[in-house]
Order: sequence, then C-alpha cells, then structure tokens
Amino acid sequence: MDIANYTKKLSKKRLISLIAIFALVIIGTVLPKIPNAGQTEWSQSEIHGTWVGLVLAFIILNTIRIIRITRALRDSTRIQQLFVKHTDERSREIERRAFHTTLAIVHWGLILGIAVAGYFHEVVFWTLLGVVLFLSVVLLGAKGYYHKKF
Amino acid sequence: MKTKIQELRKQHKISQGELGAAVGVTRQTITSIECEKYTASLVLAYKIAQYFNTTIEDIFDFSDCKEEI
Repeated sequence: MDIANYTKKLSKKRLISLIAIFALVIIGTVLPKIPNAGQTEWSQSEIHGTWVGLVLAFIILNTIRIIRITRALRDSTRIQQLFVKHTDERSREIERRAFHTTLAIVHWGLILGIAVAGYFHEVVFWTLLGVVLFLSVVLLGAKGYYHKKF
Repeated sequence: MKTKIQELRKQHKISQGELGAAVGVTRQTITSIECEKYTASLVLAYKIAQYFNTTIEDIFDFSDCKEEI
C-alpha cells in the first residue's frame, strides 16, 4: 500500500465512522425504549444503562477517530507518520502475536468454563459450548482460507 | 540476529528515527532490530541495505542460520 491509497483509505474510514455515529445515536435513543421481556424493572434499567454507556463510549471513540483523521488529512507530515505507524512490520507482528495469544487463552478459558458450568448452570453450559463451537468453526475456516491463499 | 545497523548509522551520522522514516518503519522497530529483539523481514532488510548502499549479508549476520542448514 502506498501513501495515496492510505489517504483514500483514511477518507473512507472517516466516512464509515460518521455513519457509525449516526447509527449509534439512533440505536442509543431507540433501544432503551424497547421493554425487555421476562426481566425485572431493576435488571431492565441495568441493561439499558449498560447499553447507553456502550453507545456513548463508541460515539466518543468514533468522534476522536474522525478528529484524528481530519487533522492528518490536512497535514502531510502527520499523514506520513500515521502511514508509517500503520504499516510498521514490528507493530503488525506484535498485533498478530497478541491476537493469537488472546484467542488461545479465550478458547481454553471457555473450555474450562464449559466444564465448570456443567455442574452449576445448564443454560450457561450450552451457551459456552455454542460459543466454543462457533469459534472453532471460524478458526478452522480462517485456517483453510489462509492455507489456500499462501 | 546480530546486525551492523548501529555501526552504519553512526558512520552516516543518522538517528534511528531518520533511518526508520527512510525505510518506512518506526524508530522502535530500528531499536528492536539493533538490540536483536526483532528480526527484520526480507523486504525491510533489503530497504536498509539499499539505504546504506550495501548488501543484506553485509549488514545482517547469518552465521547462526548457516549452522542450521
């Protein structure tokens, strides 16, 4: 990727962040008004509070991202710095290894969770089992894809 | 992997940041290569060699790899 393509990519990212903010504002206003079935008033307000908090956090993060991209698009030095940061091979390797380690820990953590949940809660047991199966299928699919690609 | 990057940098009187900017990586990456914590990719090794107008073998010490072959 060269710097011209990176600039285009940044502009696209900015647009996507802007659309995401609008979508989140709508979600954040509509979602708390929908009553959740089978929950107490207290747990409903807790869940709604969490939702609003998450939506607000995403809006703030996206706004910061838009400001950062807009500043970079105006300044060629800053865009060069961002480009180097984005394409730096060591940073990519760190990200790849961190992701790999996290995935392995989460996978084995979930398997341990299944074993423990089997003794205490059936719903949690089946939910965790579903998550592990889904993760395994995605992982195998991704491995197959990259084996064909490289 | 041992390298002569630090030595060459001092000869050319350039900083890690300047070399990093010239070859398209961060200063931290150059530091890690010099400290033998990170091994540069083939492309990066080639860019560094091109920058110092020399060959990859002159900068990077492949003696450990030769023993493995």
